[in-house]
Amino acid sequence: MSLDASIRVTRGDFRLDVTLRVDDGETLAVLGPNGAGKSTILRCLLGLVPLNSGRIALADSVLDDVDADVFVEPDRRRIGAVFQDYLLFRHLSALDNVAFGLRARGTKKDEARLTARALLERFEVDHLADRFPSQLSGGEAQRVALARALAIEPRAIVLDEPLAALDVATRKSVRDELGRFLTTFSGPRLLVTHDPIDARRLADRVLIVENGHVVQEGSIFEVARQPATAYVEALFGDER
Amino acid sequence: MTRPRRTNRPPIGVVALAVLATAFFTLPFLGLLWRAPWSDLVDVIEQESVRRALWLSIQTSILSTVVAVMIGVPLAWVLARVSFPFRSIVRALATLSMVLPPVVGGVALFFSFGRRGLFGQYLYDWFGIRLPFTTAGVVIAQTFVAMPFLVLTVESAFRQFDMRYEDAARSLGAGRWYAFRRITLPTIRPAILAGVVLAWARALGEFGATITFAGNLPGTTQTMPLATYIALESDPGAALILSIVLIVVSFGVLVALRDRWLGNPHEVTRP
Repeated sequence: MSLDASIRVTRGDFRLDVTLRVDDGETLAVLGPNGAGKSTILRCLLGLVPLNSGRIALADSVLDDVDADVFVEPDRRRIGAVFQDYLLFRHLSALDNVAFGLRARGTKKDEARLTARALLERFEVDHLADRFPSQLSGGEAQRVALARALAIEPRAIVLDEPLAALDVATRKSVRDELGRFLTTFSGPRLLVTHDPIDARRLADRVLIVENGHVVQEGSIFEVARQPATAYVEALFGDER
Repeated sequence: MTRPRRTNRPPIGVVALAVLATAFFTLPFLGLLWRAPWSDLVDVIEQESVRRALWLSIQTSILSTVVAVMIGVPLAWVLARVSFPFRSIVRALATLSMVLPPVVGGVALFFSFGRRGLFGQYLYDWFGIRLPFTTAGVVIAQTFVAMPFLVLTVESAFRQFDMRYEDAARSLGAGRWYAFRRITLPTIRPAILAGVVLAWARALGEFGATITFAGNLPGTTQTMPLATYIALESDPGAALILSIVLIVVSFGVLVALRDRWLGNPHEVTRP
């Protein structure tokens, strides 16, 4: 199983043209400066932005194919997403945030909460079940967000700048924790970030996007050894 | 070197002006309470006509608030989320009746939905529906002037709502409608309730459009503000007592709703 996408989207003057592939059990980091189109890639994968041309397939199911006139709605894609700022629903407790995906798919309330509690236990935050998002620390919010994304038994996981909102002091420990989690998920994993340290610690491979186009792709080692652009050089220059 | 301790004391000038504003709101009511013939209170309230006016006011104001919510919230959503030609004109139309003298609104209603009105004649000829001088006409007049308060409040809440929360809900398996119901609406609930209270209060106090379009028929279209105005000519003491009843009802509802609903209980600061 793998995630295959060739994404072409035009928005005004901005053109995004990116092809990527993430295998099962692999983490791909999409790196690039602000405005390079990283988040748009993620939104295309989730079905929040339809393609203008191209194709997205997850394992043997096609999610978006402009030529074949196929488009699967976001709620039918089963891609677990962790968003920037986590976007936990503020009016729901941590438990109900995790249960939300199951409820949306028609699971009964009690049953959904039971599953949600088990997930919170897995992330060792079951004691926070009744707290609201405003009462959670950044690290706690990430665990709840991961549990919420996993509740829908996703076939792939995408993360959009999951560490950007954290302060420096907690960032490292939360990153380590995220790394441990990612290795336990067996499907394709895609991480959008602008931070080379995140990529180095969390990803198996990097894809570097500048101005809507892929400028380089490969292992961190390869990319760092032969940076294709000044931006890549600046990102990984200190590696050599 | 010692420095003066910093305090959180608010600036004295601002406080003075705020006190002035509060006095401005309070003094008229003191005047009213001072002149009210308290010994007649029970007699006036027990009058059949007063009870009917009060009951009619409560019924019609609630009904027009319900109508305003049912069609005003969808309008607010469209104005906030859908871009279409002449949107700014539609928005201006939706709030026009808020700035117009209500009497003008009543006249406009009369010439559109009156029995000889542009649309009213067909309503009457085809369906036998007559709106002026009926309780339905009162509800229409009240909705006409009250709905803008709801539309404005709710539209601004839809605009401020971070759409990414709906995206997150969608990615978790929620259809558009489910995400709207379970995420968007609860998030903007305080704004909707604020709009409901404003619209209801405006409907309860409606005078000009009602008397112009629906007339002043005791039991059918004579609401509390109308009864108060009429009483002012024949029995000023009764008018004062009617005013006080209206004030008590409105003030009670505003205080109760503010404390119970308008604060967001989930916006707790981090411990």
